[in-house]
Amino acid sequence: MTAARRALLLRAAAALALALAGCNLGAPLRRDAAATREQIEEARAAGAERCAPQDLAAAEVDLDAGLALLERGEGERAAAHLAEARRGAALALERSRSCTPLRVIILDQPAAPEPAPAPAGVVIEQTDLDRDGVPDLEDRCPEAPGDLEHHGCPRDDPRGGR
Amino acid sequence: MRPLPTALALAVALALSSGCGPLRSSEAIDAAAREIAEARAAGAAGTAPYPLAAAEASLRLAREEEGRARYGSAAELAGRAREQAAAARRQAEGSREEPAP
Repeated sequence: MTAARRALLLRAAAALALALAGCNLGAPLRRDAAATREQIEEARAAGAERCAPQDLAAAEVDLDAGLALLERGEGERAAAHLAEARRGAALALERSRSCTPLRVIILDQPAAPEPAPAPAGVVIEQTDLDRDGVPDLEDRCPEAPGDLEHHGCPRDDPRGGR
Repeated sequence: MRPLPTALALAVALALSSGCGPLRSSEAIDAAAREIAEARAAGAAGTAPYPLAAAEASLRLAREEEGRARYGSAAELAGRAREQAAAARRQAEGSREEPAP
């Protein structure tokens, strides 16, 4: 093998090694980007558009930029943007999880409902037909006035006896 | 004598084409920045925070690309920032026009 041919082979091997190294750098970055995309979607589902809009937007923009740079072969810049995207997505997710739910205040409330009618039942009214102060229920002589001592009967009425 | 005019024409074409790139991206970046300012003035920070933040992030990236002389990419990102800012402004104006309770 001549020296020129050996040099050519060495250059080809070096070029191949560089290309493989590039592929090896790209593959983990792409996996990283896919994981970040999932985290962004999770954050969005948790309300990040409302709870952490800046973190979410920055993560999305950095992720797209990182992937575009990777396509262009700018691995170092791509890695930096993807790292930023990962950081933003994590922050967005964290802030969304601790974000209080949206409060809804209803200003125009419908009129208060009518109070429910009292349940039907038995009404017991105390009566005192002879108006002697002894209720009819306890009055042995409800038709004739008497005193409490004689159970509501006149003194001479045998019904008032003990 | 023949190659000289050809080389000159190529040089002029190259100078013109490379000169238009920065101009185009600068215009796009300025337009996006104006649109973002209008969206902010319309109250987008309170009523449309997400599209406004997306517009600002895209504009930041557009400026970064312009700084690296990636004028095409910068112009594209600035265009996206402008669209996002316009969406934020429309959303803010829409919520402002809603009848007060």
